[in-house]
Amino acid sequence: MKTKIKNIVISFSFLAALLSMMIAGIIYPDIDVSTSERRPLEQLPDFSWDALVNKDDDGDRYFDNLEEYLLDQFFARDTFRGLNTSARRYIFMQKDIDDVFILKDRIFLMDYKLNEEAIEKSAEVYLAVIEKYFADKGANIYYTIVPDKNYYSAENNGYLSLDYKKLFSIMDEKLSDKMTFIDIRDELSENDYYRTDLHWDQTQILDVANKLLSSMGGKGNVSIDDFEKVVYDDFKGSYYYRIPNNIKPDTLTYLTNDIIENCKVYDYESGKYVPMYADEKLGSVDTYDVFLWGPRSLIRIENPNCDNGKELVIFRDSFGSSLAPLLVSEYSTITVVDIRNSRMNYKFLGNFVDFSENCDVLFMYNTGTLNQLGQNSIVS
Amino acid sequence: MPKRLKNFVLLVASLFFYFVGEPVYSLLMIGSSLSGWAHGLLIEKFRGTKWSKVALISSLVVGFGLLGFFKYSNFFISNINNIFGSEIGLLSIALPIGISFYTFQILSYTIDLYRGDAKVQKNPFDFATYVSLFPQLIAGPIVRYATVQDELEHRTHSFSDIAYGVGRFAIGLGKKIILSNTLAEFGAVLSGLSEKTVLSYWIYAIAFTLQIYFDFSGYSDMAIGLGRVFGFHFLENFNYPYISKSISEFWRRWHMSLGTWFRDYVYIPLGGNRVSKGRWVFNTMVVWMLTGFWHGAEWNFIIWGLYFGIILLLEKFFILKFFDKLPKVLGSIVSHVYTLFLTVMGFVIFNETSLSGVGTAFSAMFGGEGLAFSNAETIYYLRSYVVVIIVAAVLSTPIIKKLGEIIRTKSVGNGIISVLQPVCYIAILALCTASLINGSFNPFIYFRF
Repeated sequence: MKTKIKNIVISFSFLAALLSMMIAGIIYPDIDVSTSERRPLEQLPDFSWDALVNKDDDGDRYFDNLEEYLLDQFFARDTFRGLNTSARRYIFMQKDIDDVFILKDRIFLMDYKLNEEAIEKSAEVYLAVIEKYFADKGANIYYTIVPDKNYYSAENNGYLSLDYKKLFSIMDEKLSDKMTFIDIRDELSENDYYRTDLHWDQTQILDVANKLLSSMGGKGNVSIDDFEKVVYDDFKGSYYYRIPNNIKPDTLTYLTNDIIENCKVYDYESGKYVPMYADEKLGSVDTYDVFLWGPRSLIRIENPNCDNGKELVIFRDSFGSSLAPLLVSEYSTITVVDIRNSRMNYKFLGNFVDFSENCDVLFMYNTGTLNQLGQNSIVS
Repeated sequence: MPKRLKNFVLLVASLFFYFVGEPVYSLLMIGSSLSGWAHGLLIEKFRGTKWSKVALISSLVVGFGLLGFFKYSNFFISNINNIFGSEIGLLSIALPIGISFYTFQILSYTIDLYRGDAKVQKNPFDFATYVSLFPQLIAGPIVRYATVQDELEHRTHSFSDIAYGVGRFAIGLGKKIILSNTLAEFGAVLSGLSEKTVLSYWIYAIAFTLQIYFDFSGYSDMAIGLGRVFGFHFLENFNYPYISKSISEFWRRWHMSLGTWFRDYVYIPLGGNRVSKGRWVFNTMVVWMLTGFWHGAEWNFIIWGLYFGIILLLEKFFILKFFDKLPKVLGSIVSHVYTLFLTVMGFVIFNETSLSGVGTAFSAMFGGEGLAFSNAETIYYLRSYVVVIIVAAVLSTPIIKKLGEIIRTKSVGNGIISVLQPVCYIAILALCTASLINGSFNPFIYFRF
């Protein structure tokens, strides 16, 4: 009798599970964008005989696209994604999930394959830029390398990480004759980076700013007390969306004061003067773009409160965008350039700006950028 | 539901299932079914005359002809081009999914019918239902007509069968999605290592050995389970092959429906072992070459088959006799290690896509490529996937099954299992759903079959 009841329970449970999921899928409205994955979800494909039997440009037929749609719009999709991650982390005890790993309440992306060719080419681009724009200007040329947060956490916790020693060594070999290296590794720690994002926290990099300023002949006495804080409490960084998690969002704080607010910031892409911080980016999918409007190719910051006539040219990625406002007090002008391929080929830079004599030049890209070839690379 | 409607609904569902994955070749499958059905009628109609044999031969020509054309044409063209330096163009045809399985099913019908081991099926819809049964259509097992001929017309349903089928389906799905796919993901990680090592090659081979077992036996479990839900009793296809103590035993436990197909329709008709020793060696090698070739139109599959053919002959002549002379415990350990080693080596041949790849893999595994034994990358990923390897290794043995049987002997234990069983099924289905929704790695390794 007991067996008979068990059999009936199993049979009806299975049927109920199938039917309930099917009905929930029908009733549950389709969603355009997944906020947890930061991507558009597949929509119901258009039916046609051609789509049914012939493959589209992606090599998919109608039912392939329909399957993708059904998976994307599955009822309680985020819950199931979380379940999948939990199973892999806690049942199979996998150390990372698709290269993403969590240590306490911090999310990391494991990026450990060193692309020596990319590093060398990056250095060669630095040299080409110097040759083209700063050869006869008496410029003081520096470079720093921004370590990604794995530098401080991955290897110590049993994860794979870049061969940083080699990376720094390649850059040194290529560049040491032509520019001065400013080592900022000791000015940073794991806690200076956001928990849910790859970037550093502007409030935690004053030591970096001072090290750079003093190394470039400045005073380097910027203090947190010089600034007012603008706080945004719900910063979900780019890593936050890479893995289902229960981690509390970060607090993004940017630093401002009268000097910063009085600066005139000219964005060459839009052809307009803009504020130093893009408040409208707060809460967007790219909240970190609040700093200098994100990945803009060319920005000029003029500081009317500094009359020393000094100019700083920074070749940078997004890490430099949050750093530049902290350096502005010691320069009359800061020109911020991004020469990654996706932004601007350095060869065309001269069409837009003319750098002053005896300016300071700082190349600062993070290890991840230096290590990547392709669209987001600084390799031309 | 009336019997007529039962098969009709199942047929429509099965054709739709196939159409979803393979719209263009659906007609080919339907045509093959009709051919098998028509040949069956002819074999029966002319029974006792030479025309019955002609009808059988015709069915074999059509079946093997279609299989040969779609699956093996480009293999032969490539080899002719390589040998004679010709430039015959390859055919731009894709391999129809499941053609090897349904062709063998159709031929099992016509051969068994000719031999008098099966009854003629006069209803084309019922026959098409048999051929296209969606649970086993694309990944087996090879269900012989004689196995289900009665159930095609008179099958019963019960909660006992449905519960068993649902449970078996859940277990099969779990094997495929949770274990096999994770092992496949591990394999992909190992293939993409920036610096491969001797250890990474070994782990890759072991992971693939476990992956293919859970993948293939998972599909068989799902087929057997779904078949039971619909009232069919398919035969078992896998029986814990990795506990075997010889390759002969391994093949009695691995893909049994294919093994028995080749035994009954190729090996025995060739004379089996009731022939001279030389002829028997020939028969054995022919059967194993064909078994390998069935798995894919590549030389590595042929070599894989011949590899097992040679081992089986050596076992028959020497190895098993040697094991018999060893003390029981030692013999058991040695024979088990020997079988696992040769099985893993076999799947290295199976898994590579070229002969040079096979050579490189073997060379690397035995230190011939000048690779380091291990490195941080290999150790990291081994640690990351070690639990799934251990779980898979344990579940590839009947340990859990035996444990369950022991617990069931006590009434309390039986009660606990009765409660836990449905809970486990639900948990497995939830985890599988979660994995599929997440778009996790989900390879289909039968695309070459």
